[in-house]
Amino acid sequence: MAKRSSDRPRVVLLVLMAAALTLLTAQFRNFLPVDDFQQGFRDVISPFRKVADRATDPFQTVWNGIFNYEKVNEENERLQVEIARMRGEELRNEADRELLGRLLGEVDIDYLELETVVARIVGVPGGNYNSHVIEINKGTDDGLKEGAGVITKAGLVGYLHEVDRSTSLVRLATHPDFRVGVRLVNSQDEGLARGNGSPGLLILDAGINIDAEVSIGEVVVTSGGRSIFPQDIPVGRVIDPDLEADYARSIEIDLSASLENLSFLNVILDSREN
Amino acid sequence: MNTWLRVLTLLIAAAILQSSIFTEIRIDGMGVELLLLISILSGYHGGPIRGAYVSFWTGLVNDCIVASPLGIHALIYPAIAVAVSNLEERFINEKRVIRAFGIALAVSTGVLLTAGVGHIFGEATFNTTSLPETAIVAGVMTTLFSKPLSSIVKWTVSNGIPREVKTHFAGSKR
Repeated sequence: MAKRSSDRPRVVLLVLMAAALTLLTAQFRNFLPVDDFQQGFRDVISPFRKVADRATDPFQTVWNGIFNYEKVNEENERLQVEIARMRGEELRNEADRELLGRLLGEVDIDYLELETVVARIVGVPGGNYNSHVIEINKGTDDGLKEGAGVITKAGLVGYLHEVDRSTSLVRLATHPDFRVGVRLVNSQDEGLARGNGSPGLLILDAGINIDAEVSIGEVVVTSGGRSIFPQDIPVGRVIDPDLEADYARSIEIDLSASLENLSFLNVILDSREN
Repeated sequence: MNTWLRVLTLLIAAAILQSSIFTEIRIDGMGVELLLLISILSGYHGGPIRGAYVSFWTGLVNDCIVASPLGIHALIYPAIAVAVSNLEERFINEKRVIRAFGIALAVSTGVLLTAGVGHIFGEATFNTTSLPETAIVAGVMTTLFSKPLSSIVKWTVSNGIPREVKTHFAGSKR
């Protein structure tokens, strides 16, 4: 007697793989129900997740105590150094207040006046698939929209990649698919910077002139325009201007916001209106 | 309870755990792949066909909770389950350490394949420099949870599958 097709593992495997490829195609062609299905699923399990999180909180604390103890110590040391540095900076700032005010006026940094929603970081998505994504505790119920810029007082952080009802996923600036239009404050040159997967670094390698005068330590801000980010949000400082480049420059920017140690974020409500 | 109702319950419970407690259980940022482990165990206990079906749905659930394009994990997990099922006969009588190594290897392969397929589809979400390290650590960490999960997956997927029949031949000492 001939075997039924469902009895053949290879046939079943091929059918399932074809189904997965069909779903992938639908997703990449922005076939909406696919996105809605994913968001709906996350929304449905969201309350249960919160309960599970609370129930397992003591265990998580113990785990973090065991495996992240050194990290907490390092973080404490880093914060102590930071406090000392900020105290010194405060004194210096007082002495240079006039100069600082004039410089800020020239650069026109008014990003702190943007209308934002403060969100708390709740963690990272499970598994190992998303390595440059974090989850925050605000979603569409709080007026957030996909693609909204995310900043801290220190500067650029990323943008909202997925927005559910009560939570959202933020794609960090270090994500290899992240792009942002930037302007070099001294030379006023503009270009497109991208994440490259390295912690705390952006690469500016598009749109920048080969003979642009770029110096180490130069401040980089967002260029605005049609970008999701309003102009003049601090991005970071140049750490490698790639002066030796022959054809295309690849300038390294050290991000001003420390993406490793975030707790709260500001999500820009509507960058285009601002 | 109906097999598919069991599978549904297992997948929802696993999705909740993977997106809550298992987001915190990490070593240097690398975490447990609970849903990949369910796929592997479903192939091991449920056979190639049932394992493939369960793994497909497990992959879809994982795609939903990690917000990857729907189908990335569902493309890889059934293949892993079928491969594990085909190798199951060779491993079943091996020592526990060998079987644990087999699970770790399957998890690591799954992580690498998912990264590869994601890359093909333009999803550069893995840090390529630390990918081998991630695969190994995820493999080891995930294997630690295989023993308790194995009996649950076995109960879930082997409903209706004939149990192992032990035969004794006349005169045999066994």
